Amino acid sequence: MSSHMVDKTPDHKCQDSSGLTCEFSQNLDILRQIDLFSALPIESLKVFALMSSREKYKAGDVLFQQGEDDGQAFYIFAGTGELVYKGDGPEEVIRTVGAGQMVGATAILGETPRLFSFRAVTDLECFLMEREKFRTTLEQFPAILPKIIKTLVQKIHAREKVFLTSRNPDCEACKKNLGVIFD
Amino acid sequence: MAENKKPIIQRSIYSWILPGNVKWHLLTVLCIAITVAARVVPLEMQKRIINDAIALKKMDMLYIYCGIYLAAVLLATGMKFAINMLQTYIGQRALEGMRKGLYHHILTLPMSFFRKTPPGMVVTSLVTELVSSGDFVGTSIAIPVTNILTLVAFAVYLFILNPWLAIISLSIYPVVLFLVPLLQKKVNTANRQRVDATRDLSSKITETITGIHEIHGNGSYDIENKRYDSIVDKLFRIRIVWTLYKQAVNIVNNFFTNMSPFLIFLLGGYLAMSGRLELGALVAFLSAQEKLYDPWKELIAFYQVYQDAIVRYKKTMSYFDLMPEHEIIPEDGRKPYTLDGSIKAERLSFVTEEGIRLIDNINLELKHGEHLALVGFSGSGKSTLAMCLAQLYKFTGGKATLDGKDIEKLTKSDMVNNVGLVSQSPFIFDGTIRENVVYSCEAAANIGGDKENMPNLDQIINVLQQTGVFVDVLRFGLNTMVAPNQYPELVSKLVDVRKKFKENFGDILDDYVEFFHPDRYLYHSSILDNLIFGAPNKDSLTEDGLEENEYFYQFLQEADIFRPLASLGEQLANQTVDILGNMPADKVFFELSPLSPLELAEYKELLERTKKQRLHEMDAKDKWMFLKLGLRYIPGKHKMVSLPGMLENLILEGRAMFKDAIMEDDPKAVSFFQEDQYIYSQTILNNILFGKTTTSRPEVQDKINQSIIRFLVEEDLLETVVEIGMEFRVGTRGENMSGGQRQKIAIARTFLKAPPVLIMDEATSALDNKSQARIQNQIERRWKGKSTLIAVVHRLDITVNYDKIAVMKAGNIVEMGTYQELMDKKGMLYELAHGRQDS
Repeated sequence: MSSHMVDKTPDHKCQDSSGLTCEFSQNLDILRQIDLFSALPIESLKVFALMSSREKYKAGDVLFQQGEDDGQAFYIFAGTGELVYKGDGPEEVIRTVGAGQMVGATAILGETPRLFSFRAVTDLECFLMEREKFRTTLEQFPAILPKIIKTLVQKIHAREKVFLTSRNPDCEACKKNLGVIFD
Repeated sequence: MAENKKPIIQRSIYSWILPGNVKWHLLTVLCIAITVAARVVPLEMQKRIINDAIALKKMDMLYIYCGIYLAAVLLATGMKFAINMLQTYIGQRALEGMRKGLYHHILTLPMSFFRKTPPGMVVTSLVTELVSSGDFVGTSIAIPVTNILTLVAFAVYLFILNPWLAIISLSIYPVVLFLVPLLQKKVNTANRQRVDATRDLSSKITETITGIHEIHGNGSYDIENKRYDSIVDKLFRIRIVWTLYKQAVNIVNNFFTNMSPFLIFLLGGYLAMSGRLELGALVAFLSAQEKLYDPWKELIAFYQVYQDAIVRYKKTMSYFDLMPEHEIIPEDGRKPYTLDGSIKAERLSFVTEEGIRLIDNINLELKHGEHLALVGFSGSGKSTLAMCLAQLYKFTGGKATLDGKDIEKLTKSDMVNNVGLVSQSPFIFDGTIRENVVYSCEAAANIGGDKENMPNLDQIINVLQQTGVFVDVLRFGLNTMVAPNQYPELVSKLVDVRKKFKENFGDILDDYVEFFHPDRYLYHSSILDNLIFGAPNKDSLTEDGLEENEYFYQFLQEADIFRPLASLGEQLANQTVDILGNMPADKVFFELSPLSPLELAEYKELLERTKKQRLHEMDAKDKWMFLKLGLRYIPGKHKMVSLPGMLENLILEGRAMFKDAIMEDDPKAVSFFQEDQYIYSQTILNNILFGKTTTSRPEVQDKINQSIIRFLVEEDLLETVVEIGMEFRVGTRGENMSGGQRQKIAIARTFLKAPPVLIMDEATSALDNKSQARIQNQIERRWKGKSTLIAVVHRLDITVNYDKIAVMKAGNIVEMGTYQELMDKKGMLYELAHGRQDS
């Protein structure tokens, strides 16, 4: 057994002999699929992967509530959930989300009250990141902030575009709400 | 002793010398006199031993003289020690007085002072700069008195020996007395500059450390380094000049005192040669003259200490030469007023020193018990107005009254006994929760209030409930490990009812709790806990003790888990160093790491060193380092490695093996987890559950809390556990609590004081909606009509039930009325609520 054969470089694919992959490397793989993170350097992704946790929810559990500022982003592994909006009238389901989708990502970037609630339809398995942890990590990698802003701007741009093209042309009042105007 | 009545910053350094110290100074002088005498005795004995005892061969005389000689030496040594003690005592007492007095003074200084003064400045002033003043005071009487006396005595002696030679040898001292102060002036100038530069340096350091995120964010290391370096360079130059002049004082002094024998040789030699002076007399004179040096040198050294102390003392005191803006306690000794909560402000303005008008001509009137919400954009002056009415800022124009009395003229004692303030980012001090909750009451009582009026346990529990922090405190209690014999009743009762708890709540909690079971692996406990499955009663079975525990090593080998565990530990170390290797020692990052930040460097080095080694090639110490990590591994927490199924089985087998072995060899070493026994190595909660929770998710915690509270109420244990929770230590600045918990504690301490006026500056901003609503509800139910409230509010939805809402803009109140009135008016509040409607 000559020692030059020893190779102990850590691989984030921490598979053991039985082919078991650890939660950390699964987290890392997921992060690399999410567009908010995919462009970031691997050193920062590793820390993000370690800082995020995995939780199980039961059908009917509310993951966040409209109006609250819980500061968490959820990535769904398994199960389906629904986004519920309650205006002046009865509550309505705006959309259904499922495995592979991330919900509420803006919450980890800054303080905003939720515009809708997120409820589990079936049992859910999620991977979640908290704002405070995200921010503390961000402070250690100041260079990635511009990349995040870039992704964010692209998102806002795409949103605006959708909004502009899909509006009802007859709605005069809607025009006033077009464009993000700072004042 | 009128000096003592003066504010400390106006006291001179001399005022510290005599008051209270006269007897100590006298004692010191006496000791010095004895020492001088005791020093002469050996000289005399020396002569007598030779002349009387040895010459006359008298053995008994030799014994006596030697005895006296020894006694004198012992006495002199003892006295020297006593003198040092006395000087230290006097000096340290003065230093203690200065430090306390100055600190007490600094705390009362106006808020504006602290905006300009970096904390580092205050620290150096109190910690280092005053030390030399203490040293000076300690030696201020004894050294000059004794040395001048000695000098005079020797000078007289010299005159008696030979007047002419005496005049010549003393003639150099006036020269020194002329030159040294000149040089000392330069020393003092440099010293003053040094104090200033040191201050700049500490301000700069404080500034960079507080703004470190900005520096990291901008990568502005270079800019900051240059700024810092230039101050260090300046300090470098000043210190060189300072030291040079200090040395120059010594050199000039040495030079001239060494000149003295030269003059004597010259003149004395001439006189001797011309036959006017006996050679013996010249020798005697020379040796007598030598005795002048020591006291003289000591005097010069003392002079330097004195000058240094004066410079530092004056600089320090003048920096804080400011008076509190308001009297602390009424001078005439009256009790603080009991005021009602009516508030009136007329043309109230606050202009900063830089001329910025933060609030402008505010008129306001509140009847006792009315609730006012201040809303508006940030920078509109809401907080400033609240702070002015709370007397924290001294307004610069207009008038404000509380119960008809001028707020400007009320003392601090009147204010704190009538006004409760919850600030935006409340400060929680290190101590227990209980101490922090009674903080305001205690302070008000100490500053002239009624000492009988301290709250009792029921009242404290009441406010904890009102502010919604009760459950948090209960939780702290539940997470406490109690020591054996600390709460015997609680412990025995908990064990008695543990089974009942599981029957009633086991099903609800099954998904979130991992119950202790001898045949089940605990994914939320360490491997060591899984193996021992009990509380070790011996240090040799705790992590620190295991390294030396051959018995345990043997067991690990027999159970076939030594190598798998060490290998797992190596894997853990590798992954953790890879992920967190370059992270700062922040708690957040290491929460889920098996390594503490302190161990990181050690393991980095270890991994580097053993990179090319197989496990069996490593030495015992290295193997232990990895094994230790393996034993710490918690699958539910340390996600960078997964637990192989085979190891899990081996550990379960090992658990049974270990129990058998211990039961046979040393049954008292471990208290195994048993349903009928309290586990002192686990928290109260884990003892009730007889297991561990598997998630820290808030809604799950709520669920568990509900079950536990119901159970504790049924068993009449709730109050005991809350009391234990109130002894929870919150850490420096309350770091062991969340922001919301800190805010709730701050509100609780003001509610507990129940003052006629409440001022809350965004007091609920860190709370979630539910907690915010709960506190708002409490405010409306309990305080409306009873206490006047001025609340700076960020969220408009909680202002609906306020008696008045004042909308502020650019330092003015632009509209005021009830929520409905202002909404109907469709003015500013409406705009704030609905967002600007561009047309």
